[in-house]
Amino acid sequence: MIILATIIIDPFISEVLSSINLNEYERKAYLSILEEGKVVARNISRKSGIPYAKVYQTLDALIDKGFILKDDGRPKKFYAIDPKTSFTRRLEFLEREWRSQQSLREMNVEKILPSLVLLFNETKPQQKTEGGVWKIIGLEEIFNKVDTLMISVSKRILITSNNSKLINQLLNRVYRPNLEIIIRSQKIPENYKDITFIKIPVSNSSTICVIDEYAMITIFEVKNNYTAVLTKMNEMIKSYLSDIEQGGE
Amino acid sequence: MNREENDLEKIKTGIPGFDEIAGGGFIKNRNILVQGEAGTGKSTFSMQYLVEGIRQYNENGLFISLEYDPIFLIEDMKAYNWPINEYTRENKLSIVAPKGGLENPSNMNVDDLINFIFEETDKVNAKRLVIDSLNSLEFIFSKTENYRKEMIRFNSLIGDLECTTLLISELHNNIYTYLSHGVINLFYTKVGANRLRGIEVRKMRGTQHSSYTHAMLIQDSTGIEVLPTEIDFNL
Ligand SMILES: Nc1ncnc2c1ncn2[C@@H]1O[C@H](COP(=O)(O)OP(=O)(O)OP(=O)(O)O)[C@@H](O)[C@H]1O
Ligand SMILES: [Mg+2]
Repeated sequence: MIILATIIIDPFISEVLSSINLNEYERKAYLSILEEGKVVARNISRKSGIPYAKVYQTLDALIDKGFILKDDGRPKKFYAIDPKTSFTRRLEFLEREWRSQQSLREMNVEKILPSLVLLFNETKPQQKTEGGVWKIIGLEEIFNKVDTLMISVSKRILITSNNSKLINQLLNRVYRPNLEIIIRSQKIPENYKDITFIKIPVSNSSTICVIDEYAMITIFEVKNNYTAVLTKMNEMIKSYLSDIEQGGE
Repeated sequence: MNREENDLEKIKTGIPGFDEIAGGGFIKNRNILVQGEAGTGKSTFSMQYLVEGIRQYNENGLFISLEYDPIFLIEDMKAYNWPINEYTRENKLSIVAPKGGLENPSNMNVDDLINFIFEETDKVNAKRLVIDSLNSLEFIFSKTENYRKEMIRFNSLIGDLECTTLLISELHNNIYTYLSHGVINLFYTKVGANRLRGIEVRKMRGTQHSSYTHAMLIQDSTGIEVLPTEIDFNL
């Protein structure tokens, strides 16, 4: 009973229509309409083999996607829009859609990237470690390390320094609401709230940052080159204990 | 647009006396509700509508029997001398029950039913369609999420088949009263020790029809006849 015209089963046409997101019923309905001209739903169903109960929703989808129109007679007749117009519009639509998906992807990647980088830094193989003491070279690396340590901070940050530029940089990275932050310094920066400043004589030679009670970073600056030593108490103890077990010491 | 004209295009049922009280017949390609209690003659009226369509107007017919085996239906109508078997053989008339059989309508959903009706109208090129009855659709509709929406969808898909369709219902005042373009009420009412048959065109859009309830007869060999006289059940 169903007469399939050749165009409806042309695999390449079908593939291209599918690539612009027309499903099987939509493809068949669209090609049927192209071949028939103005046609009622029931005849589209007859020609294409789309179940009658599904044909109206298929045709509505084709209207939404800009391939066909319907008149307001009864029963409604459906007819194609000039394919040049509909395909151009469809491609433009898909491009816009792709762009918005892409920008959403970019936004989301941006969101998760820092924590992935932190993880990566944490497990980077070339870090030199010796019994809970790390030597870190370069300001960038130092800050990366601070970021990593900040993942598990819970209570308090203590910074001791006279280098106000470094204090500011550190504050930018460690500031969290609900976190107690204490700065011990001879010079008091002005534009920070919720931070306790203790004016006290402090050595110019190093900056010390203590994170909770488990990590201490001591940063040294020589002619704009930064080096730091990180000590983690629990790591030191672990390392010491494993040395004992191996009969070392 | 020739919409207005289409709205008013009528088809004669060919049932003696009915078209006169209905302002010329049914509105072409619309759904008409035929309602009445058990035994009021709904199935007979509808079958006669199909038979006369073939006999007088060259319009083929399809009878969808949803609650009654087509074999019994044909047997019941034997007294009227309608050439049902002949028309069936000539593929002008088809009396069918849904695929799954009447025993197991639970397998069928609304889409299956719509597709079934569509395919069957296609097979005989039906211009007249009877669905007997809506009451048995309740079960199928009740399985859907949005009962009312599905009923409206069903009504509109059936309405687009380019058939003039009689929807039979035992219930009065269901949603189809509002959805249908016409409503016919059938009565079989006790008057004293006797019962009298009556028929009323309750609604026929865009048509001036009789506002009376008319006397109706069901007789051997001729079937239904509607009389021009009104009937008063309160006598
Ligand atoms: N040969 C006949 N002559 C006169 N009246 C008849 C004849 N055969 C049936 N009838 C009457 O028609 C009635 C059945 O009509 P019909 O089956 O069309 O009613 P219905 O409204 O479809 O009923 P149901 O709701 O049970 O399906 C019988 O109950 C009987 O009164
Ligand atoms: Mg009946």
